[in-house]
Amino acid sequence: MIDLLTSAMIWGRTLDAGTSLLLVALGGYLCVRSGVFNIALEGTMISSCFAAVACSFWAVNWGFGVLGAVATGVAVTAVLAVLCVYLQADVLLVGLAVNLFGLGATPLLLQWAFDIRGGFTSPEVRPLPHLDVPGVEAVPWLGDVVSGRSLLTYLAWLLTAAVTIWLGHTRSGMALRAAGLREEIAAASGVPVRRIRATALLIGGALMGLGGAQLALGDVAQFSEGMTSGRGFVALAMVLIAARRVWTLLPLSIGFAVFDVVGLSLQSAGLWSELTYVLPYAAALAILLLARLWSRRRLPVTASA
Amino acid sequence: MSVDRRATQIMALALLIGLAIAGAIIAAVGGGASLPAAAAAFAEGAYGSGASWGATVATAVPVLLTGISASIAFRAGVFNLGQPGMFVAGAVAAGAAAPMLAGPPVLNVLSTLVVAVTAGALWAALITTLSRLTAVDVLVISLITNYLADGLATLLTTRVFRDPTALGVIETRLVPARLPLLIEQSSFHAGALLAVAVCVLYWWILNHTSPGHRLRLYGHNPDFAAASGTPRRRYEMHITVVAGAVSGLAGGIQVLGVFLRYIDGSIGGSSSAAWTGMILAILAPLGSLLLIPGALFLASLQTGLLGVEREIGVSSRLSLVVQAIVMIAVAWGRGRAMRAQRAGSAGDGAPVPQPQTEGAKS
Repeated sequence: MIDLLTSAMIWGRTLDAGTSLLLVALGGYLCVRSGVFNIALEGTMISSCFAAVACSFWAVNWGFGVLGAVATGVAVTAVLAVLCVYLQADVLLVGLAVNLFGLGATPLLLQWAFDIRGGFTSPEVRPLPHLDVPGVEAVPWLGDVVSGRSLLTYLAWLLTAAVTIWLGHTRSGMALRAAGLREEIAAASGVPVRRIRATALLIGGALMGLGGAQLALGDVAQFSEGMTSGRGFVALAMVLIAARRVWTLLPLSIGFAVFDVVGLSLQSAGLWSELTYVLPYAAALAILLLARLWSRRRLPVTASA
Repeated sequence: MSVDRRATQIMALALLIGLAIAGAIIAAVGGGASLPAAAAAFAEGAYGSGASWGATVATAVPVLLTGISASIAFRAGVFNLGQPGMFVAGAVAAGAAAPMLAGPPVLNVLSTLVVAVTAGALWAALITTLSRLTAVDVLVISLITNYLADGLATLLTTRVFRDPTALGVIETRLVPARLPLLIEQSSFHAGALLAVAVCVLYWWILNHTSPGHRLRLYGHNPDFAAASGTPRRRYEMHITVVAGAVSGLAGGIQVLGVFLRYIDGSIGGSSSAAWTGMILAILAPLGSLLLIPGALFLASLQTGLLGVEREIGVSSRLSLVVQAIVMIAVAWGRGRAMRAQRAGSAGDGAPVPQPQTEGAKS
């Protein structure tokens, strides 16, 4: 068990596994922060997973896979934007419907496109490239952890920094937060609330698409029914605990991912393999509890911020 | 009331759109010529014979009960989406308890149902407690606990309650007594009567008793209800526990009436009847007897599409897609109706009893 937790392989895979959570949570964060309580993360994610595998297969190119996933993510959230921002449909109902739609439609698409049930993989589905970081790769343990991660992992870290700076230090970022915080005041001071929300949704959709691409093409390039297995909802919970500190999504995603990866390795450690189905969710809830204790301790600071 | 009528019209329209899209998908997968055959297979699968009626009713039972469960929670403005988890909790508890409880058949069935109800209620209480401890919206917590329930069910069934003689399938031992069949050679079981009774009871309590009045009051305006002596936290916990009990009952009935044991994966997942129940609670005007025909309709959609799957080979997951489309249309229609109402009443309408809705204003 101990050598399991100190192995560079486990931690490296954890960083990759955290990426899809991080990207989806970033996307969800933008939606929630702009005032649209988007619960459709799961449905958006599974749709982009499918698109990533399908496009990567047809083009025999991972780039098109990522492109297809992003386009699908944007398309799904565009539906949400039109319905919820412009036609004022109930966000929760539409979000729930999109989740069910994603979980129901992807098996149908799988059957229609590949004439197969359950899952699809092929050597022609190209996975994401893994990059070596010059300089770091030579460091003994750290090199194996940080270097050689998937392209999207590094991109996700950059995007986290970008979103943090955007929301905290730019005019448009402030307008987005204002639209979510006090809609009437934002509108009265000339912020185009609807356009900002629609934009936040579309950018969020692109990020969720990237998250789906990482999940589908990051490790073993394959699609299987229900492969997101609740990650979208865990990401949504992350968004809620991150509250105003968007950068906390990065450590949170790694925290959640540890249990995903460790759960998969339990079998080799001689423990019950069924724990794989329990551990990620039990850990997610435990982390939520810890985060609550942590933020309660720091509450005086955040309340005045 | 005009909103209700408009909502009904929108729902009818939404169903037509949903069916049209389903037809289009079937035509795309199976070819245009397969449509008449698909329609025939649908009718055959849903209503064609005593057996298919039995299947439709048996499918409708958990949908109706979880629908009532969701409806109770939504009525109080608690957006708890944990019904699939409570449903699984009830089913696992029933599957585990029934072979252990001795006694004559009637007593065995009744005590198993009590265990299932308790398990559902406890799971619901757990969801509320977790949501309070983490200070995360119950909506999000309940969605995560659904996966946790599935995982725990697999773990418990495999490691603790597994039938040692079952090969390959992960399932509990056969229950010693089952809910009696009302039509022989079909799956029309006595749980259907129980479900209808629960629905009528719910309708009666809601409309003719003071606890029902309090529930409606709380849903319309929790602040007012709190001011008039309904302690918020305790009341929301009570409501959730009652909702969990009804979902747990659904799980128990499913085990005692249909599967006769808990089979891993038969209750949970994305094709869980509890999702359909939740959709039923959203589509049917909350808390009315319309839940019964609504459940039958949604169930016939499923059994009908199963018939289509047998004949044409299009996956019956199509029913999820149709339901999702109907839900989107209804959400849109409600938004329109609410806007129209607001424009008519000039000024802010009543706050919508749901968390985090947009302050819709044009």
